[in-house]
Amino acid sequence: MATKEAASNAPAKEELPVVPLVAACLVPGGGHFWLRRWGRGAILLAAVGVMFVAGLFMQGRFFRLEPGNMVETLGFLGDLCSGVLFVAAKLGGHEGEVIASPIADYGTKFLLVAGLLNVLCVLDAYDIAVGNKD
Amino acid sequence: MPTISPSEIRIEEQTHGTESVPWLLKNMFVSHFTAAFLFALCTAVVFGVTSKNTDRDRFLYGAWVFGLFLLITFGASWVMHLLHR
Repeated sequence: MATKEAASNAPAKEELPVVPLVAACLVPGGGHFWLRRWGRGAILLAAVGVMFVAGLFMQGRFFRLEPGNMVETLGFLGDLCSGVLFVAAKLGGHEGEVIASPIADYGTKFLLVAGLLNVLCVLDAYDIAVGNKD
Repeated sequence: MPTISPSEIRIEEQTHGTESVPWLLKNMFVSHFTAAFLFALCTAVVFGVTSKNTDRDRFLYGAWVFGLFLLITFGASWVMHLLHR
């Protein structure tokens, strides 16, 4: 009896907001757009997009998926977090050769950090979707 | 015998390895400060937007992060410069 009462008083399990999360993973600010936070979504898209495009122009390279190389693999996962930007750059033929120049080195970091910043965007979209933030 | 000034050597070091980079980009991003400025700006914007609950707090936090980025960049640059002397 007590168990049934406890179960009925417990808060309903929160559903995972799948669509905003997927949208946020695919497009920087996409989750905010889905949740009708147009302004914030546009700012996030612009900031992450500028960083990613600057990285491409600086001839940064993408990390490769190499199971034996932890640094490369983690870098690849970070790059992958850029979503469609990463896919578009790959489909666009961005090879990302290793160039011994400080500019290209900056570019590589820009591409990686753009992906990591998109992770923050995804987490923010999740917080908004479950009601933790406005 | 021609002499090379230290400033000329520094320019050569900065442009080393950038032959394949387009001219415009070479001139836009050849400075470490320019790249660090752009990096700080984009990162501070995302930090500000995703961290706080009100627009005012977001702006203030973004400006704070941006300022810290630049301050640390200048500080680290001076430390490396003084250590390199």
